[in-house]
Amino acid sequence: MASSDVTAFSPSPFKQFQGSNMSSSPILPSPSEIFKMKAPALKSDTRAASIPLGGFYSCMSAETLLKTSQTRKSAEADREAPPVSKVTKARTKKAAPKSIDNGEGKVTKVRRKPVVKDVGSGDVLDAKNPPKSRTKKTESAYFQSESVKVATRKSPRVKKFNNLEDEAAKDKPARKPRAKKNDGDNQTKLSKAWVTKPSVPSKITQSVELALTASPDPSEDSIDIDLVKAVRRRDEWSPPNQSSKYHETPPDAMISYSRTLPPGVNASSRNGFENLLDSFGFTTSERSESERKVLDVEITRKRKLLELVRTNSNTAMCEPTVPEAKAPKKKAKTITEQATSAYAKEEVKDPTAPLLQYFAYQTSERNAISGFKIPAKLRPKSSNKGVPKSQQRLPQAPILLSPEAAMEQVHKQDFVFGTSSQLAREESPSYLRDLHTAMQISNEMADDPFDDPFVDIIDGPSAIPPAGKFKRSNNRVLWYEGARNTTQSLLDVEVVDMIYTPTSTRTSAARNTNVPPADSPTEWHDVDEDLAPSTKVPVFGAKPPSKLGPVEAAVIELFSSSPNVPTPKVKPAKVVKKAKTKDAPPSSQPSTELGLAREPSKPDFEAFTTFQLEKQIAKYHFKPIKSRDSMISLLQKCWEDQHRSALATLQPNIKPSSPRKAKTTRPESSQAAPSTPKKRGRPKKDSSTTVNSPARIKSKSEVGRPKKRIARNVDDSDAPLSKIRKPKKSPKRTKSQEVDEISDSDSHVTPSPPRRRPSQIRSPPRALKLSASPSTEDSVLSPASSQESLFKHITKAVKAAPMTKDPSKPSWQEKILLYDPIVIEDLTLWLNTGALEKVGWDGECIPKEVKKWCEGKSICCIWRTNLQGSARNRY
Amino acid sequence: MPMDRPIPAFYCCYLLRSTVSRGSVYVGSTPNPIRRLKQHNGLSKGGAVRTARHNLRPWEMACIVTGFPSHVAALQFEWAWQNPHITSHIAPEERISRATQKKRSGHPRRAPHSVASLLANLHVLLRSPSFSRWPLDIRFFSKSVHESWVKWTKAAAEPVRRSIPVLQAFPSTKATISDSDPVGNNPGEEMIYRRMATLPITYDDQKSHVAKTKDIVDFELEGTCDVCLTDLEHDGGLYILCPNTKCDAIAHMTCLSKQFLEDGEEELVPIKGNCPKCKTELVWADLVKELSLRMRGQKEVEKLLKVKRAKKGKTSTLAQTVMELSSVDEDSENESDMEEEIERMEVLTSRSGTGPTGGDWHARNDFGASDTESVASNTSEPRRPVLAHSRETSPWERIIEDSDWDNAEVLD
Repeated sequence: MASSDVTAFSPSPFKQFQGSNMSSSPILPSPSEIFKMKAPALKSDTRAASIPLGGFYSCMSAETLLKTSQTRKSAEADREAPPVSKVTKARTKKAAPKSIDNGEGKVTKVRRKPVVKDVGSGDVLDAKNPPKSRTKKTESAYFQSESVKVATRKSPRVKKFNNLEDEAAKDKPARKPRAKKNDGDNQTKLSKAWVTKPSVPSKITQSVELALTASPDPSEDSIDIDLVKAVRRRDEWSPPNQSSKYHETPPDAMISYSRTLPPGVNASSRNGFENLLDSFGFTTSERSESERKVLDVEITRKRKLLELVRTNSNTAMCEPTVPEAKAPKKKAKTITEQATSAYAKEEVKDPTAPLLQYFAYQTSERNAISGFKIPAKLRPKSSNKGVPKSQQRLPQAPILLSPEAAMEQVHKQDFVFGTSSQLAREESPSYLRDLHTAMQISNEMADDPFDDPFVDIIDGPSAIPPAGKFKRSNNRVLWYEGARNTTQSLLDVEVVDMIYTPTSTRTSAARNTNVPPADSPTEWHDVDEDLAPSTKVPVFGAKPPSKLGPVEAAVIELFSSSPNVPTPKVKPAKVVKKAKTKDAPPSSQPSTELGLAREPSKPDFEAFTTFQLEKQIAKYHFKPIKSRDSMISLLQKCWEDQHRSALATLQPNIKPSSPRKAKTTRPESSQAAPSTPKKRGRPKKDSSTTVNSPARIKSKSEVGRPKKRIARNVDDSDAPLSKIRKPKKSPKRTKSQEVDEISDSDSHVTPSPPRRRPSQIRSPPRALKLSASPSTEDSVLSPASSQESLFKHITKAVKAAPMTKDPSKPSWQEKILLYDPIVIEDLTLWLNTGALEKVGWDGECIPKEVKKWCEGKSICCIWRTNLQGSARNRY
Repeated sequence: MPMDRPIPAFYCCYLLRSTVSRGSVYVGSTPNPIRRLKQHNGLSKGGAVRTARHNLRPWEMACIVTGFPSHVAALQFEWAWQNPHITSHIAPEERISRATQKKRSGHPRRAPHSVASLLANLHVLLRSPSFSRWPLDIRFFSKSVHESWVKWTKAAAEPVRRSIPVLQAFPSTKATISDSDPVGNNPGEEMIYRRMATLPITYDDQKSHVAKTKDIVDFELEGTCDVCLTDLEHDGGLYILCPNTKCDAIAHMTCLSKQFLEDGEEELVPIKGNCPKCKTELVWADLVKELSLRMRGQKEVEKLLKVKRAKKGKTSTLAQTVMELSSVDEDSENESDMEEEIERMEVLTSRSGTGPTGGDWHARNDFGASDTESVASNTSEPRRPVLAHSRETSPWERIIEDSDWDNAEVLD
């Protein structure tokens, strides 16, 4: 190796190396690990570079003294710098064999190239020429010792870099490009393109070294670079294998350079740099085997060389590139991945979710039994996200699931609907889960009266589930008093008061003491609201009714027998079983019956004449309202309230019955609820169906998903699993229910426009009343007649207005006669500010009516504001 | 924001139909149908994108609805015509076009228009209370379209109010040929423009009326209302004068409207009536248009009265031809001479008041002087002098047929 290197050194390489050496030497000696790594490599390398070994030792000592306190191993490795680099490559897998080959072939190739290069380099590099001559002369003699020394000095750094690079390279592709940039320098230094190939990986380290160590030399480097370019071109032509030879050459160059620079300490640094180059050469050579890399390096070299010189000074350049390399390795995250990843993680996160903890905490406090339950709840919540999660949970429970249990788990799963982008949008993956869990918990609280009993029944055999039931019920109370009430109240504020007294007393009694009086009204409201949306109905109808039907009957029986029994007592497993079998059908039936009964009772206010409507309103002691729509809506509300109160009175009866079973059958009742959703059409109807109220209440919770109920049933079969899972299910149900309720509230608030519209439109049969003097009575009788009379009065008022005395301010009649577009608001204002009163119309008109009047008279009318909402500035 | 502009001289909604693809239709509105049609046909800048397809040009205005008393009214009608499926001007039971689909925005999407559907909806709109009393009329430029209109009219349950005249502005025989033959595009196009050239898109029809009322009002000769017999204080109200230059009837607008509306108490806006004095049938819209011009159309009035002179100077030849065509008077022999004189006069007067035509020029000056005199002298007299003067200038202003005719009447 050494001999071959010497020959190669003679020409240009020296100059190049000088510059490069200067820069490279200082940085090199850092990582001990690299040395260790290289040590084994050295052994392999030693084969090729057997000669240098003796010299290495001497060099080793010097290197260690000079630069860094390195282990002997590292020093040895350094001595054989080129081999070292190979070793590093060997790590990558190629090193040993390649290095050997390189050593053999290098000599010939190096010589050829150096000659050519020397001419160009020598001319170009004035200052460097002398060193070259020296190197040539003394090459053989100094070669071994100096080169070895240099190599050793540099090698540690190089090794470090190489190691780092290799390590990084393994993971990070980005470093390679950097290496390519540096290659240009290395090649130049090494004297030829051949070198460049091997140097590729090492170049990075070299460049770094250069920047750190030999800042003063950059000028030299730059000059060298030019020479290098020429060399590279030649090198490029050479086959990739030759690169291995360069490995040898670099050490030579190192030596030569050391000779030139030996006088000062700089020499050591330069030597180190040279060594580095050599080592890089090896690495590059090995890597260069892949021709592609070489080509790339060469292509990029010319341009990059200049950059490298400058950039070399900045170590930072290398560093930033590294992260880039890492980045590409990472797979690009798709939105779906991102969205789903959050949920995959959530399982772990769920327990941490503050809301969940809070709920669990509450439950635990309230229920002595709850101790176990808290974790159970948390788990189910987390499990909701995916089936696999549920399986993960299982480990606590028996791994093998019965088909039923598996089905349960499947049903338990929570589904988050939305596009992946929507899901990904959430700031934290746990956000949705927390939200859901919180909703579930809150729903559970509300639903608990029904759900809890059921759960208790199911869980009865196992201690854990009952505790969960109790907790829920307790939670429910708290929630009702707290947030829960607010949500419900939003939906049916009015109803609450009406219903409150009757239902609350009875329901509270009927239901376990756990349920606050307020709950019953609120629950009722919820049910109604839930029922209102027709969409939910089918869901319930599908699965739950069949299973639950019997339960309801059982529940009713139980209620009748023992209305006030507290839930905890009910827990016995027997009750649960009954509930399972019996729940569905009875519940569904009563609900439907109630709904039917309620509907007919409600009068169709829309069909009423305005006069009738006014009478009705008068019954309620309301002031007369002009708007027919408002009258209708008001009457409907009043009617609802009345009937609700009546229903409330009825409900107590039902509720007491439910409480009897509730302890045992509460779950059943909840199951029955699904059938109730059919009634959702309107709150009014719900109010009419007092008997179904309990079922409805349950339906609220159940409306969300029938699956959960089914899951519960399955759970019942599998006692242990079901216990843990059940709490989960209930929260899920509650979640869905809540969402439904919200939607319900919206529907509830707004009266259905389509029905009323036809009635609202006042048909203009003016002919009837035109001749007759406008009488208020007529207006009262029918909207059309009232409007007609109003129109008459408007016409009268317009005509009665005095003629203007100022042509620029025509009266309304004159404006109309002039075909001016009439601003409806202005005319309405004028009519309402005395004009109508003067003609005997006691009342006001609204712009819509004025518009109708105008259109009826073929009067061009316009709104003050245009469609964009801005005032017109011209007609 | 008071109304600040007079009733437009002309505003129309038009049914545009492609002469190439007879099923392609477009509904628009414009105060100047010729200009607008040129835009649609790409002859001038502008025009709707929907009519920009070359394979649909040239377009023809198959039918126009004219007489809108304001551009707002025209735009409302246009929109109602374009959107018969959602306009509130069509009662639900009357609605013919119904939306079968909805746009993305949720608004109902209207069914594609066709000539038949547009005519049907036009019929409905003209019957609707919103527009039935508007001073509208319909002109058909396409015989085929008119035929389909007639067909629909027969089928319709209720006829359009008689106050809305249906005019056929197409030549009886030639039009049918051109209509049926898409081959004759160019001649057809020319025909279209020629037919539309007769549209009264300016205030010229009101010129005599405006001139007459201007004289009276400017000199505060209102007198007493012929309906309520109360004194008409100058600038103390809105007065309407009979457009008949030989009739001096004047009345409060409201008084006159009441008289016109004798039969219909409930209606506010009359359609037409008889002058309280001369008993000629007057169209309310014409009366009001003049009034609005007087009230709010100072510019328009000035332009209207100015235009005569300006036009004569610049477009005398055109005016001559028009006069030749239009005037079937006994003076036809002398007209050429007269016109030459007029031309000369215009040129000379611009430089100096002398020359053979100077007499006419001075006569006109006298006209002005006499007016001032009349003001000073009598309230009743001025009318005759004015008429006389106008008559004197008649050879000069041949375009104003009415004035000539009126003058003759007055002299009698």
